[in-house]
Amino acid sequence: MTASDRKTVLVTGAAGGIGRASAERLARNGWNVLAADRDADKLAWAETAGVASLVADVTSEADNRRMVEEAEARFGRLDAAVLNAGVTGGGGIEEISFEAFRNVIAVNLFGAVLGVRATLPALRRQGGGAIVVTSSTMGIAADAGNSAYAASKHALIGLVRSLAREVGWEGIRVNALCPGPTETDMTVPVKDAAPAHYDVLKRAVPLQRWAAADEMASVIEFLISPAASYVNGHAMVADGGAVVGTGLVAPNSGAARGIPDEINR
Amino acid sequence: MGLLAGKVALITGAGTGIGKGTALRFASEGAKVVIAARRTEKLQETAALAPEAISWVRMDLNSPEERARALETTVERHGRLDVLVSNAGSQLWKSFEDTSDDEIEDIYQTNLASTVRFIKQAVPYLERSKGNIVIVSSTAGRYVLCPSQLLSVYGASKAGLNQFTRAVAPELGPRGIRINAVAPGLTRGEYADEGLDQNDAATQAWIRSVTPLGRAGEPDDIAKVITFMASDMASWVTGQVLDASGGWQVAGG
Repeated sequence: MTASDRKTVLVTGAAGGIGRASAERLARNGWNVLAADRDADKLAWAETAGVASLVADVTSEADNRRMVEEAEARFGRLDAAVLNAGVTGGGGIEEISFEAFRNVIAVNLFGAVLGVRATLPALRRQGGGAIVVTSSTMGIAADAGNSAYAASKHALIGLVRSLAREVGWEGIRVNALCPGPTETDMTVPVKDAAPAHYDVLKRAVPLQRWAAADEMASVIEFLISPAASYVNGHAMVADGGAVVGTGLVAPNSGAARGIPDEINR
Repeated sequence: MGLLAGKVALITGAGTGIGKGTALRFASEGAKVVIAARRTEKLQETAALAPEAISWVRMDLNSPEERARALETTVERHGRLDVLVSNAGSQLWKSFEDTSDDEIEDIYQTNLASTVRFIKQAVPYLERSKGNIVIVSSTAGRYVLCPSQLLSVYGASKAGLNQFTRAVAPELGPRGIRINAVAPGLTRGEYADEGLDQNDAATQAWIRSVTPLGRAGEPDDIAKVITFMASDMASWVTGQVLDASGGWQVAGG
């Protein structure tokens, strides 16, 4: 099988966490992968692993075009996009600076908007394709002190649902992944710095642990694969039951602020 | 190696439609499958398509004894139960006011009460295997769809299953059991075809107008999603209702 027979996927936010795990898994399972991130140092894993990579910023329209051009130049086609780049941004509505709030929306929402706009023409050239946007359980639930992040992630689900109707008829499926607590570079510091706190968070999840990043990657793989041929406009939650369970336990929730363990059991 | 290699599954309502498609998918992914339903001739037809992987047992979902026997038979044959696909149920495309009291009793009995009781009976087996449950619910139990006036009684029975799935997940999670539902939209198969002539031109135009992917689902479209949910690829997914409806759910029809 030559490179151009294999399907090609673009993964943004691929320097670490869910993005990297997805790029690794998809490359392992027969996809051509272009891994993109703005952090050149952390993206260096890709070259070592023999995965194509590109340093690019999802908030730049030109960089989004460059990602698609690069994928098509290297592999001759683009079949799927995993628009996963995102930033956190906590703080009460009166505490967070407007600039910081704006930045969360710029990366998480507008980054995906630009990604979709750059990607669609390439997917059409293949006669269809699939897009997965990484939202969050914070795209479904919410908590005090996290409004910028939650607003951006809620907005992504609105985007996905709208696009499902807008481009579904062209054979392009658009879905969202809503990850819950996952062990990544972003969350491991919590575990190391405050093990007791981590334990509380863990017990609040019905499956009694946090996810490995690859358990998100496997859901992403499903959503872009033919196995999900009739799944469109869905916000797929993969959170060990955290949202339906004892309530989403986020960094600013009561549990995290030290409510006695008994209450969380 | 298949996604379900070495797994043992019991699939109800598997003589036709989505259940049958799921049995065949599971077999092709390496599972040993026991299929259960009332109509044994349909079960025999399905089992004959993959006799090395699929065997059958008669089961009326409304009979506690037959439910117990289906579970016991599965474990006797294959030593364990890893996946329960609860797909058996009744369909009802009818206006609320035309629905008789008996029909109302029947559909809540079958789709909701018997299914919940069945899952209760299956939990001890699944706890031993750290297995999982996939309930086949419906888009009509999640959103109000066109023609919504015909799916209110049925939709409420499936809505009950959706909420049961969400609410029981935290009870089952600490015991190592995942539970999820798949909500098919309009799917080709016995029941959907009963309520709707999908070969009619006007019906096809309507399907295209309400389903962004422009077609009705095939049983295998749903079977593939059930396979994913039942597999280790969904190891972090529990308490969820997954829409498999071509996007029908997005605008509520």
